Amino acid sequence: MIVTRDPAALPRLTWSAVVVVAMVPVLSLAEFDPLALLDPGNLHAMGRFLGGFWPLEHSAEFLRLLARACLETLAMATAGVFLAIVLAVPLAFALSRSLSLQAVMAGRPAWHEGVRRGPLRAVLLVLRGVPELVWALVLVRVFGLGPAAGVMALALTYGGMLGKVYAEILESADQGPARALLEAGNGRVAALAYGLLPSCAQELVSYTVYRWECALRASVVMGFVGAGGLGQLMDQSMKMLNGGEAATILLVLFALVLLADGVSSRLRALLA
Amino acid sequence: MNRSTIAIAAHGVDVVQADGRVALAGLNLTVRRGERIALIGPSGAGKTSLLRLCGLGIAPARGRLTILDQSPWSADARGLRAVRRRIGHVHQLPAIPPRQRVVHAVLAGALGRWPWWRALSSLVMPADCEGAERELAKLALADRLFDRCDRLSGGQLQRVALARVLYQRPDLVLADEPVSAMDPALADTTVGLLVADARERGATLVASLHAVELALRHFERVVGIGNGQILFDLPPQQIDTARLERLYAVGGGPGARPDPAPAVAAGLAGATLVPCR
Repeated sequence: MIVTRDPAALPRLTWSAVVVVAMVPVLSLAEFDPLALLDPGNLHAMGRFLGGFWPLEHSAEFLRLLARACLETLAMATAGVFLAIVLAVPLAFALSRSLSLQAVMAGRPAWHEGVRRGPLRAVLLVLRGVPELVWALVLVRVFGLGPAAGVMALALTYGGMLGKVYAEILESADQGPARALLEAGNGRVAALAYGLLPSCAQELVSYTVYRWECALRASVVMGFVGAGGLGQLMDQSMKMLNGGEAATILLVLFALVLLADGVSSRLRALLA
Repeated sequence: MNRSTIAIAAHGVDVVQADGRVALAGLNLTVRRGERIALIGPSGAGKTSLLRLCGLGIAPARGRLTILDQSPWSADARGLRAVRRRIGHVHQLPAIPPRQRVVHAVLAGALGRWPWWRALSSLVMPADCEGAERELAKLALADRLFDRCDRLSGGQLQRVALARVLYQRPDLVLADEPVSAMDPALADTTVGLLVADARERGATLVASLHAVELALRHFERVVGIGNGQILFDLPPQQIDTARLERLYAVGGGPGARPDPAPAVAAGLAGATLVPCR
């Protein structure tokens, strides 16, 4: 029989239409009104706010404070992501279907795999379902004001994100080599290291570095709730309506993100 | 360990693929330890299925199967793994990640005997560069030790896969068209090497080959498979052109498409090299 019409065409058309139509109520629910940007009163208010950003604050005393806060933020983001990796790797390893022994047992019941995945998925969901800001608000009450709460908050939320994405990256790679290793009687660690990592390493590293970049920004936000670093400094500057200080802090943050970007592309080039 | 002499024993074995297609029906085959067997037959006839059956990649739907003196499918998971580790596979398309370096691809042959931490540490600091280089040298690839596998040609990649199995030193070697991407001269020396390695170690070798003359020249026993069944099982001296023509005229299994393979047998009638695919 000759198929003259692509059987996938109708579902694709339908789904595309659904996505476009669904945007209308979504945008109105989100109170999306771009014209508000052009309202003269709003423009004036925004201009005054941004105008306060000049001149940049550069007194030696402030720069010392800033350097310390910057280091604190860097340390918080790095330690947080490191702990997140420690949390995520075993979870992804346990969860990823790529390393399922069930598949190579050819129909034998490996009931424990399904039973094991459910709760682990739930753990990841809870970890990343709670925003790091909320974790930080809770943990500040445990660890007190300062970066420790931020580090833990990042570790929990980002551990959940990394675990989920790691597992998915492993599942999106070519499964042949890992499957062949498992079928040859090798363990899951060996199959991961020799069957999947070579294909996935670049993507795993790249995503992790991107998350580190996100952690830099997140640790600034958490600073506003008392987790130290650039955020806390910015909170103080904003409260004292010192736009110059805020602008300098933003500039430093911008430099940090640039740094993360550079690290990411260097690492990608190394692994290419 | 029980050192009886049977490497593979299949009695009335059916193999059914995941899609319900019957790949092998009523298979009876006994291979003694140390025997070297070539499988020939048209595409889709069931050669790969037979190798997957022997390699414990697919369980028999019916019948009795003994591999290396064990009944792996009635053993527990640990027993199944133990038998699987004694089998070396050469896949039709080498199952090697393209971005893996040759040295790790070869050393992966030892994963079955390494503890997991050694497997990991070897990725940082290769555990046995000399060993990997030695096996590659046999295949004239020693200079590619630290290259990435995606820099290799198809034939070179097949030789890396063979070097892995040489490094593994398994009791049973299952090779699925191990030289299909090599030129005829290289294919000939490579099959010769594989056979010699099995003979020296007393290992059992089962290899499927599209190049019939390689099967006839290097192996002591040639099994013709057509339509999911064994059509003949003879020493090479007893295999003549008429038998080969009949084999390739049978075509593939019930689900296989018509195959232009009779040309292979026709080429053999001219007593020349059959081109390797």
